[in-house]
Order: sequence, then C-alpha cells, then structure tokens
Amino acid sequence: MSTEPQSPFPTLGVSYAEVETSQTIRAATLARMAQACNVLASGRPARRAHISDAYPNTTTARTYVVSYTRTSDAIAFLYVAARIRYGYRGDQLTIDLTIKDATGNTVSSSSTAIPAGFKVGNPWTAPPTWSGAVGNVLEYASTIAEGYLDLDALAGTLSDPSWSLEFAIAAPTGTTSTIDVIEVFEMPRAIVDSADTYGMLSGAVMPGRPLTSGSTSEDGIARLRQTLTGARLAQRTYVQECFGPDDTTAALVPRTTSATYAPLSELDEGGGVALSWVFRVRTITGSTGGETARARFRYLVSGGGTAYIRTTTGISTYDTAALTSATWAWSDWVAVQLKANASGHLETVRFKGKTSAGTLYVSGWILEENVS
Amino acid sequence: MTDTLGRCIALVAPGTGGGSDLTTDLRALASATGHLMVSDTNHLANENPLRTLFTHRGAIGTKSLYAPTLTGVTTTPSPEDIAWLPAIDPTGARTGYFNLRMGSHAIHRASTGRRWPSLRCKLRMKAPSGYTVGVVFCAVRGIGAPTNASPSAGTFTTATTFQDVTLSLDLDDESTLVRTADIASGYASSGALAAPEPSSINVLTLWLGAYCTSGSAANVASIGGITVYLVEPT
Repeated sequence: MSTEPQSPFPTLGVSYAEVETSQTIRAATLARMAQACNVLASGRPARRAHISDAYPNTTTARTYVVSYTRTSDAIAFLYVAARIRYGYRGDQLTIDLTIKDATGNTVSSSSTAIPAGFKVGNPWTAPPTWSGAVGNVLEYASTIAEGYLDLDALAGTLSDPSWSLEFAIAAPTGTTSTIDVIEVFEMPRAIVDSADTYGMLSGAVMPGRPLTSGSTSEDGIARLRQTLTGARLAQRTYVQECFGPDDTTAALVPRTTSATYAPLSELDEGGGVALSWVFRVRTITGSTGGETARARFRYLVSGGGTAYIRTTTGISTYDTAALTSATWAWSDWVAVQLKANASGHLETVRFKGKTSAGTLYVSGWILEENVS
Repeated sequence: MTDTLGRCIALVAPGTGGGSDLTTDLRALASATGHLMVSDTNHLANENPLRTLFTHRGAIGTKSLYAPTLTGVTTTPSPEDIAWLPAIDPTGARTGYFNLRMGSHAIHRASTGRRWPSLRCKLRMKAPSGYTVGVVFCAVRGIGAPTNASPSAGTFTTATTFQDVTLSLDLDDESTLVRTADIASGYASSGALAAPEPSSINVLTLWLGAYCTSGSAANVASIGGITVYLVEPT
C-alpha cells in the first residue's frame, strides 16, 4: 500500500487538443487527469443523511433511523454530529448510536468505532451558565456531540452495504432541550491510497516513467480509467428524510389506511396531491430512459395488512414489493429512473401508499443515485 | 467546462481484457481513448461538486404553521425578523413558529474557474386567506446562527394555493469557514493507532425561517417540499 496527499483544490480541465492524433503524450496531461479523477472519486462525496427536530422521551428512548450506503472504500470516514439550539442549565440528553446492516449484523455504541458523544453512558449536560434563551437569540445553537465513523472498521462487521444508523435519544424528566439536527455526511479524502479501489498515485505518471497499461489495481492507464470509474460511481443522496421516531404513537409519523394509493398524512397537499421534492439530477447517461436511482422506506404495517408504496418520478411510477412487517423495518430497495437532462437538470418526486388492512406507517425514506 | 460530450460514455470496464477493453495490456493507446477519458473527466468535474444538501417535508397537514405576526413585517423578512425560538414542535403541536436548521455542509468549489457553486432552496407555500406568509433562507459561515449579516434570500405571498418558490444564494470566499481535523484512522484493539488523516473542509450552515401574519391556529399557512441543492456558479 502506498499513499500520497491529495490536492484539495478543484480539478483542472483537460483539453481535447492534448490527446489528438499525433500529439505527444505528456506527463503533465496524465498527471492532471489523475489529479482530477482522484478528487472526483474521493474528494467530492455526496452521500449524507440527517434527522431534524428529534425530541427525547423521558421514559423510553425514541429511536430515529436513517439509511446509509458507503460510496466506495475510497471514502474512509463518515462525519456525525448532533446540534441543539435551546437549553437550560443542567439539561441532559443521551444519544445512543447503533448501526446495523441489512443482514442483521450490528455495531452497538459500546464499540470503539462509535464516537464518545453517541454512547448511552455518556450523556451531554448543558453548562451551568445556561439560563434558557430569550426572544430570537440563538445563544445556544451548539454542537453537543461530534465525531467520525471509521468506515473500514465498521465494514469489518457490517458486511452488507445497506446500513441503518439508529439514534436512540433519551433525557431525564425536566430537560427542555431538543435536538435540532443530527447530521451525517461522508468526508472528502485528503490522501490517495493505492490499496483502495480507486485512486491514482501521481508518481506513476511523472516525466521519465514508462507509460504502461497497468491494471485496475496497479498504476497505469487502466488504473487511471478505474479511478475515473470511481468518479462516475460517486453516488448522490438525492432525497432523505427521517419523519419521526420508530413509534406509531408519534403524531408526525406519516400514515395511511387507504386501500388505494393515497398521500400519507403530513405529506398531503390536499386534493389527493402528495407532497413533492425537487432536486438536481446528475447527468450520467443522458438517456431518455432516465438516470438510475433507488429508494427504500422505513415502515411498519399494523393490522395484518399488506402495503405498497408508489414512487412517482418524471419518468414513471415504481412500486415497492409487498410490505408486511409488523415491526419497524426497511423495505427492499426499489429501482427508479429519474429524468435526465431536464431543464435545469431538475426532477420532481413524490410517493403515496396503500394497505389492504390496518395502517401503513412510514418513519423515513431515502432516494439515492445508483448508477453503474 | 468545455471539451466534453456532457455525459459519461458507456465503455467496457477497465480490467475486463479482450478486444473491447480500450486500455488492456499490449493494446495501442489511441487518441480516441484519450478523447473519451477527457470528455468523462471534464463532465464529472462539472457534475460532482454539485449535490443535494438537505430535504425536509416542511409544515403541512397538522403541522401547518401559524407563525406569529411580526410587527411591521408583511413583505420579505430579514433573518432577524424571524422568531428562531422555540423550534418547530416535533410532537406535532403548532407552536406558532417555523424555523429550520438545515444542516452544516462541506462545500467544494466548482471546477469551472474554481468558483463557488450557487445555493438553491426550493419549496412550496401558501397563505391563509387574507394573510401573508413570508420565508427567508440564510447561509451562515461555519456552524452558527443566522443574523442580518448572514447572506439571505426571501420572499412572501398572499396566494392561498401552493406556489413554487425558488430562493437563490451565490457563495463567495467569505461564505464558508475552513474546519480542519486530524481524523484518527483505525481502531485497533491493541498496538498503535494508524496515523491520523488530516482533513480540511469549507463549512456553512443553512437556515430557513418563516412568518405568517394570521397569528392564529384558525388560519394557518403551509410550507412543504423543502430542498436545498447546489448548482453551477452563476
């Protein structure tokens, strides 16, 4: 394994003129392309998740869950932070992070891989100087827990790539603080590591070095193309929400009892119109068939019902497989296509649900890019 | 950035081997291969700094807002016009306030001219009949709270049907704060930890606040489908 620092600076364009027939292949061209591919593969990650307005329960912890899939092994760390905007001296909050994969492998907060602020035995306590906030002043817009998850360390246990980050939040009676936001995002890399799937050491293309094809794991033109592939596979998180805790009694967890596709409560604009989200789609194929993405939903169906969730994009509608879990679970991934090259590269998505019996609850969802 | 077809070209994966692998061993390196690699690199250099930063359902349904009447504010609010406390009541009760911390984010310069990308906030909103609803979108340098010194963009409406709203903020060198960290790599149960990996990111924090002149739970406004994403520099 060899490593070298990675430039944090933006990539520089490479000109067609540099690779025209009869042109000499210059080290500078290849080095710039390698630098660009490195930054684009591991310096511009776009996978993220957040939880807004999480509030503790004084009796049993409320658990808020988000989905995460690592971009590639060239992304090494996931930043995780919890922030508040209000508090009173002596307030306490406990955040307990457990991470599971789709096959049930689990890393609990007792693991050394979980940062200290996200362990159940390590509560946050508001400083004695805090006296509550007055008026519009956000005097206490503070970070109460912050750290990094080592993705290689976690991947040693979590072998399935679809992870579930579960934040159990609790507080003693009398605490007035609520968590403003818990946020999670992939950190851009500062080094290139030849042991990763993607990453081209610039030394391999310096003047005087022979130009080789190499292989996908050995520096050369094939490794450069492999790193360019990593740039293409730097997948985005397009829409992600945790609507509330995994708790059917929580007022704001969207739900429906409809036997036909209908907007869920709290996601209903009225007149049968479901709430929509607009976002920018990365153009990969530019195909009229759309760009490839996928969605999954955190759900529970009560009353023995069989439920479905239908996602509508600018291309078509996409239904989940039958949803039957009577405990909180993630649906299987459902493949969706998003409009490519639309005006402003913008796409609009919405979803509806139905159930044959009982109630379908949805506490969160994620729509993420899944190009190949 | 020029010199790109504006999309990625589907090619046989490197390392596949055989006649279709453009960079396999013993194959002449063709100018066409270089063109395809340049095109993909330039295209992804345009695309990869851009991404979705935040999405939120907002306040519709039982969570529709009746933010309090703010004295003198009936048009586009400034950040300090907004009541940032208390936060949205996550139990579903209408607190009369709508204010959202939309996360802190690492922002990267766009490849084109190394300029900063622009922020877009999309949402849909409507006012109760006879009243006004207004919103303001703020970008705070580093991790902090909004003030009137924060770059902001806002609007207002009296429309009683959902209106599409787009709020734009251009970024510059003063928009973000550099945060550095040495991230410990590896959690070996014994022996020395691997050397920490240095990190340096440019961070800003996003906020969205709203008011409604009704001041009454009987006349509520709605804001929904909130998304924030980055677009090419303007």
